[in-house]
Amino acid sequence: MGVPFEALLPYGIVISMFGVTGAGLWVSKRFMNEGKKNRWNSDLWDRQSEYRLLIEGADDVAEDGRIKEFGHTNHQFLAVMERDLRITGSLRGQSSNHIAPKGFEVSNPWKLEKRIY
Amino acid sequence: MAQRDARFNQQVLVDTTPMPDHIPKVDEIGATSAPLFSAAYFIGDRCKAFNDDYMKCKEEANGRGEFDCMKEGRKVTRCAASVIKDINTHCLQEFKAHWECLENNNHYLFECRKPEQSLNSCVFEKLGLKKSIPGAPENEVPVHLRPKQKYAQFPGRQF
Repeated sequence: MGVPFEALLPYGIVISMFGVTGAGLWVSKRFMNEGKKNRWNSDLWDRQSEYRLLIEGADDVAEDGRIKEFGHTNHQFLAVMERDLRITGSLRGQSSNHIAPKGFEVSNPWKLEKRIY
Repeated sequence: MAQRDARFNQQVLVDTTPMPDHIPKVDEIGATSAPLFSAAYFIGDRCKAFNDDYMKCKEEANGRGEFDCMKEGRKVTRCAASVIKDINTHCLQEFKAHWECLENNNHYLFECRKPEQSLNSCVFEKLGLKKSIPGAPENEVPVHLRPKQKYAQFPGRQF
């Protein structure tokens, strides 16, 4: 007696679900990276600037309206990639102009942290 | 204290005050990471003297290099901008092909040897700048001229 085909149906489902997962991951990663392939470990080679300002009592500065919320990236390691964001307006955007757009020289953000003592 | 990195920062401060007038202006470079990386060896070829000059100045400035070496720093910026401008003028197609390849391959040079070859030959013909890897062994073929790349996704000859 051979194995009835119904016995193999679950294996078919399991294997096709691997394909569904892979395709879903491919699509979502492309979507997150604006249609390009994913990028990783790309900024550990450089800290763009060694100078960071510690502003104590950051709440006082917020009244100027000059503090922006900045939540979606890990800034510890995104220096040059963050520069891409400042030049092109998107994290994966690229531009090969030799002169930066107007206002770029003053758009470098200081990272703030709240005082803890 | 000012040199300590901010940790767990939730906010940034963008200070839009421009530089004071007594500091001469220089246009910042507008190329982003991939085009800059693609042009890096040509920038190094043309601007080696300026770059070395700036590093020497910084070394001798005892930690005040950012202030004392601004003249040399402006030369570095202008020289790099001139290289990128020239490549954009003369080799735009090849340049674009190479940096788009880099951008799509996690900035791995070894995945993009074919566009790199055409970019290198175009830049050498039009601008006379040659890619050479500093400190590479003299008696071996430099890695960017080997057709097979060890860690590339495609194992065969790339050009």
